Amino acid sequence: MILIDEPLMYAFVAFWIIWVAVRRKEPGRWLIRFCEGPLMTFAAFMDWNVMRMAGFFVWLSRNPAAALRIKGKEMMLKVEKPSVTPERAAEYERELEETRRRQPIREPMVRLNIGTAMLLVLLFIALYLMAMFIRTWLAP
Amino acid sequence: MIEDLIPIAYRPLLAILCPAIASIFIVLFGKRPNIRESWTMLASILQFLIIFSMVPIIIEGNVIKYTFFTAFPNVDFGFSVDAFGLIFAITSSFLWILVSSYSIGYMRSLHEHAQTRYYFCFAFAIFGAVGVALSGNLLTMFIFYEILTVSTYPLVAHDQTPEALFAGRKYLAYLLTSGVFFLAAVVLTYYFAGTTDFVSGGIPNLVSEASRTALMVLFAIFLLGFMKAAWMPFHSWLPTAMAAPTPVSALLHAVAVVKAGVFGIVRVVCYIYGIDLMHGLGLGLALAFLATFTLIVANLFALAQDNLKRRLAYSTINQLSLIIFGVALLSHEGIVGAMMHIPFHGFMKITLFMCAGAIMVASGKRNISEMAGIGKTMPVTMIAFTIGALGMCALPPTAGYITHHFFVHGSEEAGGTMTLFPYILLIVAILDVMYFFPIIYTAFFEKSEGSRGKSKIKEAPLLMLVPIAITATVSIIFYFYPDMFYISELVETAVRSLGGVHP
Repeated sequence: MILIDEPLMYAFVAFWIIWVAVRRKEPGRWLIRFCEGPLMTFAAFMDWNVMRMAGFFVWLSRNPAAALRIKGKEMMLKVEKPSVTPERAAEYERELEETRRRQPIREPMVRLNIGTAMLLVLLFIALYLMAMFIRTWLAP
Repeated sequence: MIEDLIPIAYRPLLAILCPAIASIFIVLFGKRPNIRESWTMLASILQFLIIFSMVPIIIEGNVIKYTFFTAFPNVDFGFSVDAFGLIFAITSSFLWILVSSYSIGYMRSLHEHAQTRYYFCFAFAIFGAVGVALSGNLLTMFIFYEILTVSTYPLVAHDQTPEALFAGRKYLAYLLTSGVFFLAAVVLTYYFAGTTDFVSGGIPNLVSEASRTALMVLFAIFLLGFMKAAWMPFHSWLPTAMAAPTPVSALLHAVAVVKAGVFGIVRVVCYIYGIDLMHGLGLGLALAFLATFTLIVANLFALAQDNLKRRLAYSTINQLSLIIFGVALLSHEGIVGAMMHIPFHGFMKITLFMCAGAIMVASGKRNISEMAGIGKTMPVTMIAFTIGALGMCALPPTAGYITHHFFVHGSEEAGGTMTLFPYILLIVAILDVMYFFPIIYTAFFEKSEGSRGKSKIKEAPLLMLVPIAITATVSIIFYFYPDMFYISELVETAVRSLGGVHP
């Protein structure tokens, strides 16, 4: 059965082939230029923001307590800044800096290479599954 | 033979364990490449046979269950093989056989380093993918989903160049963040419904236990949990991951990773929420708009790419949204199209990626602008590429044409605003033509710069060429006979089990 959009689709394919055969270049150069320019800039902007979100999660996971305290103070500063004196606002900012300085962002951690890390993750999964399997097996 | 050897209840477990066991032997025989690769081939063939042996049972409307243990009350860690899961499992396991053969040719031709790690992680990725396909509930699916993410990271970063390592980090940043949302959605579903099992037609008490707003928020969290489906704006990990070797790109795009994402979305729509609830909440239309946005913007992004693999990556983003679009229609034809497009797109896209890899191995060319006249020196590869490209443009005689029919009919069947979508599908197909046809034109009709002298470029090794020829042929066979591998029969069984679909 022929669909409503099929004749239009075939017409476009025929148009594309004839255009290329006659003019020796693809139709719709303006669209391609638009895609290469403004649209790719927009794509990079979206990507940057998503990576920032992922970066925030990574930052949060390194020391959640400190991260939440810092974020809380940042929010408080933003909310109260317009309604307090400049001296008080400066004091808030100093407090925030002090919190950032006193509380290490990164918990002490051990660095592993990819292979070892992978092996450890898989080993833990395997151990967990084996433990659960044995538990079920031994259950009356 | 398998019917007599392995009891039915153990087949899902054995099918999943095949690649996991093979991965151990791959490491053990790491220093003997021929034996190492033999294990990969053996495991892939065996896995496919075991999975395929379950087809007659499932087509009769049965479900094969295997429970490992009970993790929480009403939540088992176990497998449940139904028709929809089997479609994904058949696709992944069959394509693993072909990608394994292709990988041997590719990795050896380019003298790639760390081949044992590569084959080990590849087998583990298939373990994750088939685990996702055969999962009986959200918790099991989540565990295999994360295994898939972790095991594919070393594959994406395989080259260990700064670009590859960045791609790997970005891949993890997106997909592990997504995993957090998925876990949250699993916990919330359990909190609301007291179960995370997949139920044909949706979990019955979900609607009574949660408010309308809560269900809508939960659906949004589910969507964020399935960033593997590369819907926009959470798509950019996929083009960046093109830094990986080509067989890995094939794995990402056709066999396992992105398919696990759309598979998850279809599972949530049809087996957690159910068609009626989705329709009642108006989530179908919202999902259709999201998919349509991705469909058009991904195609526009593809137009701007000169790197062949990146262009194909944006094409994948577009095609995945087509699957999401199909299920968002909440109509019989739409869901049939969505389920069918998972294997169909798998075969067509793997053809395109394997062709891109063959071109790179034979000529070292990665950009479309450098491929003038390559169709004359690599005719088999480029004919296969043309078949895959026609499929992406929904043109006959390829599998893509069949599913396009289903999507258009599905839109009309859904009625209301949805009747406008065939025109959007037409625009999408036109954009597909605009970025696929120039590649074919450049390859067959443009003259290469050094065309006067005899070209040294020739076809890729036979181990790479045979899988390309097979997948291209299957892409055409699906047009004439969509029931190959019992795909259409399994789809019908799956949709029938969903009960009443809208309208």
